[in-house]
Amino acid sequence: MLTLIARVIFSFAVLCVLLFFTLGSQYLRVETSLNELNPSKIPDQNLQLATDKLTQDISHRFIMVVKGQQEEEVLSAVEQLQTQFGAISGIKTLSSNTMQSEYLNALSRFKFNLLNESQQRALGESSIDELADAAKRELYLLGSGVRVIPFEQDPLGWFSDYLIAKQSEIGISGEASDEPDSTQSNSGFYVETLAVLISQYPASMTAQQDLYQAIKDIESSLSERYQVEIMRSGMFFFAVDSAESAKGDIQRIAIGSVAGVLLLMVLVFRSLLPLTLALLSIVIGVSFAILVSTLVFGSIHVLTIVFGASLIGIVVDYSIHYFYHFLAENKTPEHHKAHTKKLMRAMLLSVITSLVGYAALGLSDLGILQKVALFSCSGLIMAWLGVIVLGPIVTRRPIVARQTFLVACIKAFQSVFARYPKVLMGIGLTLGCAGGLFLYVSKVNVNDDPRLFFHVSPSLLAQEQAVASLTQVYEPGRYIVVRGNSGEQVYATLETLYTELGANSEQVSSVLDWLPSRTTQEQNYALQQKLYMDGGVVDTFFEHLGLGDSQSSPIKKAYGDASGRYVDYPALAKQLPSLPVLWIEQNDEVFSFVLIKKNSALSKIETVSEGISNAQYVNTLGAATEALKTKRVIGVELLFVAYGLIAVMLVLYYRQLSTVFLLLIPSTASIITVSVLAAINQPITVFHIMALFLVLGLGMDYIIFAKEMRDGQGPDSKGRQQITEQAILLSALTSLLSFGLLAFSDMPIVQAFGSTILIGNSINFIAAISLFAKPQRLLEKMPNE
Amino acid sequence: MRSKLLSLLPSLLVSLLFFAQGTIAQENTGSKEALLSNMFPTSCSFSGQFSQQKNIEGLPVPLISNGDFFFSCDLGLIWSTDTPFIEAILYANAANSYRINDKGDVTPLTGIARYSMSKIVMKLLNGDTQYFAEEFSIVPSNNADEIKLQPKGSYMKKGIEHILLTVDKRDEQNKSIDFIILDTTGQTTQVAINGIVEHDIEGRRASFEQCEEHYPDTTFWCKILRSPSYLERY
Repeated sequence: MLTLIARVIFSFAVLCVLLFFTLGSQYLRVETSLNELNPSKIPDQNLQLATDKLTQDISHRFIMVVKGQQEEEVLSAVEQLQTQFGAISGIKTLSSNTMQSEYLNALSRFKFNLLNESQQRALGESSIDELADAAKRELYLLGSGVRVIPFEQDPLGWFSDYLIAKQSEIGISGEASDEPDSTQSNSGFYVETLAVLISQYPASMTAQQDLYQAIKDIESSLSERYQVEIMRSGMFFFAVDSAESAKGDIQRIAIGSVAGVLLLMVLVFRSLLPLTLALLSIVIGVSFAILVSTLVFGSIHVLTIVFGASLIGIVVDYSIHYFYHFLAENKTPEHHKAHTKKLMRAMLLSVITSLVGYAALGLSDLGILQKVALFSCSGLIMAWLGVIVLGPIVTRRPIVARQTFLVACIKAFQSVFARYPKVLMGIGLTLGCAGGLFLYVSKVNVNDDPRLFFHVSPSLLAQEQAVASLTQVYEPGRYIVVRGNSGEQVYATLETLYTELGANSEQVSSVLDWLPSRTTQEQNYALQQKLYMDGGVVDTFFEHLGLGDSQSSPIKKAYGDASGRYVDYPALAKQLPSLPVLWIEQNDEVFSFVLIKKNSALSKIETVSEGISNAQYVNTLGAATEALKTKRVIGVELLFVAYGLIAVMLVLYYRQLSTVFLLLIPSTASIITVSVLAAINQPITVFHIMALFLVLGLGMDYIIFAKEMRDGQGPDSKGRQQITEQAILLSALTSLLSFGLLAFSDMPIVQAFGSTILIGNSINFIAAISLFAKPQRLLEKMPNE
Repeated sequence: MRSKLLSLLPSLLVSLLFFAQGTIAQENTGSKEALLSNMFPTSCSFSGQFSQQKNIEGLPVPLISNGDFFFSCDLGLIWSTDTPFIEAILYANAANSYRINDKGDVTPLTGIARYSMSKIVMKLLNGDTQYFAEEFSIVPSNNADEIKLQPKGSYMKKGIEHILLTVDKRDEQNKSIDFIILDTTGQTTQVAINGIVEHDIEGRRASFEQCEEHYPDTTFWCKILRSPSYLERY
């Protein structure tokens, strides 16, 4: 009955996988976002969604910086950069000139609603005559009197004054990049900046890589053509670079694992049937894992694939165990049933311990580990089912294993390690205690900074730092969120924040810097009545210039027509794609982000914002680091829980309290592993701790098989033990191959996993193959089959 | 942006006003820098009168003003308008520029006028020929007494179309110079300088005394130029 259920489930799963890969492959999407490493979750769903939008917006922008000694060269290079970027679909360049003209066009319709503080003050304090006289003097001033819109539309120059000051304030005046003095001051270089918006973010890794390559090609050709240095900065480059690094890991691990498995299977079994079953279980397991991950998460994270590639070494274990059990089977009918039962029991226990190890990763709040857990568990289950369902078909024909070489290897191992099991145990326990003591007394180097989890190309990092030194950049991962039930409430909070910050308000950037609130716009419009009413400033101004009323009529009419006309930030943002997403409306709630400029008084800004209701200071990096630290500590506690659970399982299963001591093997292996890594100064992270769950799960796998076989009685027990040892050796080799390859990854988090499992599992293997070996003298006394 | 550029014109003009007495339109006779060095004042302190006419597109009447100026390498520049209103603009140093009305009220130059490019004011007035050589192309004219300065850099180009400089050397004792500045908005500013007097003095103290002599009724202008912190006590 159970076999039938297993067959039905397996057939259904295989059908789903086939359908997915033939009809639904368009849904197959590889995620490369680096945010998966951020464990800090915002409890408020609306705020989380708003923050996600901001993060997405930031990740869809990057900056190009062109630097050179000759201005003409720099400008020509920028022009070419714009032209060539323009030819790439899905990206839009935003020069400071474009931003200026877009901003001017967007605001000029609402010029009567806009006043800066000094203008508001002047309208309140000065008489009509004084204001008209000041406007006249301004007009006469040499080098002044210039209007950003035609004179007739701004005769007093108030809007021009407002806009020019505002552009300078919000950093789109182009002053920093254009003015030779500011850029040449010390270095003697001209610098031009070009903001780039990725309007259609490439979905696939290939498309991302193509875009990255296209950018690099343009950069390279222009650097050769002009005497300039071209730099870039943006999350996109880090994501693609990391994905590229991960892709290298995937290829290395997958090719290495598959090649290793193929070689071992061919060498040992010299038959295509076992090889076919092994490969089928790998393909079915990994394909099913991809399907489940896509269904649950909508995509597969590139790091999941890296870890997933190491599954090859694990899932093949079931085939190996199956074949060796088949080989060990006493073919007499009376023994067949008992043996099959024993095999199923061992395989079930084996998959459960592996599943416990991998599922423990899912207990973490880290998105990436949850994805790895789901991918691995679903892959393991399906691969296991594959072996259980297809195994009997494959083993219908006789399977012969070449055992001489493996037996020789095992004997060599055992001659070293199993000669004196008690000594080995003593050494192991002593090393474990010493390691534990070392970890307890020494200051172990730990790392919870998510930035150090990824491999970052040194050149990319250098460019990022160079760009940061040349352009106005904001503190990464630090901002203030202001929320409210209405736009006006948000604006009111922002105004309070700016007032409280005082001079430090120049160190932050928010919607308040781009556009006043509707209430302020209404007030500004009302204030400007003094300028445009009959007998007002504009009439007096033209009178002072000797001109009649007809001159002021058009602007007075325009003022009248603009009554009741307002613009809000979302409407402005629609006209200005260059604007950062500083305003998000989510389920009747408004969220506004206040960005903090680099080198600002962070503690003052934090203190002030914490004292304002509806404002929340966010330090994502700090929160992520703190959260990762918590995860690391909780991970250790959970590890103890996992040991406890497995201890209970062992006692219940074997009905012997002493079986708890089996856990000494993975626990000693874990302590020694962490001590070794700490001793070689590898910073211990949450990923090392999570890998210890696998050391426990995989270690128990070997131990259970070894124990099962040692405890076996009967005339063929010697042969079965030898076969089991070979199975464990092969299984360990494939696992160590996969995780060993992970250990050599460029990615620190992958390396952490790989190195922990490589060392820990090696110790598990040595213990399993040595401590459970029956003494040679007993084996010799046992009759052969 | 354009306004920022245009606001450097007072200092630009003054620096160009006191060019040397030689011919200037032959770039091929030597390096531009050498050529420009002949245009700069031989004295470090000078004064004179100006007459200015601005024509703004959209405004049907010209804006005419008159006044006088005083420049010292050690102190800075005073640009004093007498008609149609009384007003003085003081360019003390890179960071300090002020407007003073007929009542003596001093206000820092803000808004458009703030963009005086004060950082380069002193550079220009002190005859930084390297700056001119790098930032302008000199286009000779058919008239030997006239040259056209065209900005080379994009920053300058955004604000200034060209500057037309005409020198009247018929009377060595009473040189006059006309400038016509055309900006990118179509606004034309014509400045005529005459009655230039070069002061043969050296040092900050002598310059201050010369300034006081030049503006005996408003000596606080000179004090502000000498020390902008004087404003705090003023």
